[in-house]
Formats: sequence, structure tokens, C-alpha cells
Amino acid sequence: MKRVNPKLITVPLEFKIACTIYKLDIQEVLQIFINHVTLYDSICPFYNEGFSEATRPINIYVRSDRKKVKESKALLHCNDLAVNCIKGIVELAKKKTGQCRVKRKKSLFYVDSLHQIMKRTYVPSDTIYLDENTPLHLTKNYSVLCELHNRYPKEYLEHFMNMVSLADFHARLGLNMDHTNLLMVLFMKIANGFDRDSSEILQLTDMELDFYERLEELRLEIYNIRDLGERTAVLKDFYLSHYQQINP
Amino acid sequence: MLCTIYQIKPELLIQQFVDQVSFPGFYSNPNGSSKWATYFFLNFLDREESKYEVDRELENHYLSIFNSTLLKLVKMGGDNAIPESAGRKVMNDWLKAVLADRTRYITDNL
Repeated sequence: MKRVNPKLITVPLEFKIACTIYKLDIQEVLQIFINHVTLYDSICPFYNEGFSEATRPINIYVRSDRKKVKESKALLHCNDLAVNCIKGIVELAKKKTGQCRVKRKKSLFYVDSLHQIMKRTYVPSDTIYLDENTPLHLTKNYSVLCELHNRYPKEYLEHFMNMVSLADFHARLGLNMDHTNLLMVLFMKIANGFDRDSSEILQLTDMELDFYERLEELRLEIYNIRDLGERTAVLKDFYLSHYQQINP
Repeated sequence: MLCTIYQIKPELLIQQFVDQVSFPGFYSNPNGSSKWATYFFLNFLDREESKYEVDRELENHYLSIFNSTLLKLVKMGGDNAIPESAGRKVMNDWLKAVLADRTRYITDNL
């Protein structure tokens, strides 16, 4: 079994490329993701923008690794209390009346309790570091969801980042394929201004302007490439070379 | 309005455009000066899906042949006319297949 270094967060290249192209700050994107992973939304069957895109894939992710579906180590000692808290949240989530925003806020009462009673096993602190100068603040919801499923905080973050590929997204878009990758949908929402101040007027260099112009042309030119893999490869190369020009 | 100011016969402009839309022409020489007409066409295909219909199976099949034909010939270098006319042949085959498919629908129902 590979030893996981829980402190070292690996930011995949494709993610860096995507953030570069949309001129996003990695820390900001990750923080928005963290802020939208909640216990309430992992149970609530209704759609809530941002929250569903962040939380549902995490649900799928924790269930995908059969070996790890064990009882929460952090909550073992207080099983009854934990179960009651979760029951409380389930009741709130399944209620058909009431605004989701309000119900999510009410669920914080239970999340708070879980956060207090859990024995910190995988989440020693509510702050983790991307690098020594870049902290990420873990919400109580996030921390509880980590301990609940015996996962380190970085695991959810890395899963999110691993699902982000601009080349794949744009290739599928051009071929009119469905977006089933919710985490990529979330990323694009953030790129388009979700939950952040995107009113700042961007100063683009000549090289960047050339790139965006060429990007528009390229996306039209590849109309004749109908194979998803080939199309993705063309875009991937193009985005990579742009990234390498900016970050030599 | 622009045509009046610049004293251009609209039909001339449109004819110019129509003459320059060409997959073989464009893909054998993507940097040519008449690329804009094809870009316009491709943009239309990209954005106005509700305004046209195409048999995707045939499209995928023939575009794939088109691509590999052009790729092979463009790589060999030299005159653009060779890949262009090879591409034109593929387009003609595609047209025949599309027409055959459409008339078959009619004749099948007789």
C-alpha cells in the first residue's frame, strides 16, 4: 500500500493549465470547492447549485473504493450520538417544505455537534496548506465529511482537481456530448464567476490575446475531427504549449 | 447599408462568400486568405444546431476518410492543389452517399 503523505497536496498539471487559461487563482477555486461540500447536500436529493456539483461526486468517490468502506474511526466512540446527528440531518434533507438555504443552515447545528465530538484522526487541523504561504480553510462540514469516511482532506481536493480537464471538456462540448462530470461543471461555473468577484477587468498580454484568438479559431477548425480522443489530444497540446509559454 | 456606402453589389459579396466556403480548400491550406468564409460556415455549424440536419454516422465516416487523406497528402508537402482535389473527391463521395440515403428513404416507402 502506498504511504500517503497527508500534508502534501499534489496539484495536477491539467488543473494548473485550466486555472491559467481562465486566469483563476488556484487557492480561490479550491476554497470555493471546500465551501460547497456539505453533509446536508450529500443527503438531500434536490439540486442546489454549487453544492450538488461539489458534494455528489464526493459521495460517489468515497463509495468507489470498496476497501475503504469502513466505519468512521473518528466517530466510533460516540456512535449513538453521531447516528442521531445524522438522522437529524436526514430529516431536514428529506423535508419537502422549507428553503434549502435555511435547512442547510439548520443542519449546521448537527454538524457542529459532530465536529465537536469527533476524534480527530484524519483532520488534525481545520487549516491545510497548499504550500507554506497558501492556506485553505476547512469548513466544519468538510472536516466532518472527511472523518466520516476516513479520508484525508487532500483526497477530496485531489479528486476534484483530477476531474478537471479543459481539453476534455471543450472536446465534448464541440461534439455535443453530455456533461456528466459534475466537478468539471463546477469548475466552469467558478470560471464564469460563481461565488467570486469576477468584475475585475483583466489585463491581457499580447501573447494571451493571440492565444484566445487562436483558441476560437482552433475550436472551429477541429469540427472535422469527430473522435473524442483525437479532439482532446489536439486541444491538450495547444493548452499545454500555452501554459509552458507562460510558465517556462 | 454597408453595401450602399461601399457601393458593393450584395450579390457579388454573397457570391464571393459562397465560392470560398470549402472544406478541401480550407483544410489543405488553413492559413489561406479565403479561410474566413469557411470559419463562418464552421461557426454556423457550431452555434446553430437547430437550423440544420445531418446524418452523423455518414458525417463521421466521411470526415474521418477526409482527414486521413488530407493528412497524408499535406505531410508530403508541395502543391496545395493535390490534397485539395483529393479532399474534393472525398466530399463528392460523401454527397453521393447522403443523396443515396435520402432517396432510399423515399423508394423504401413506395
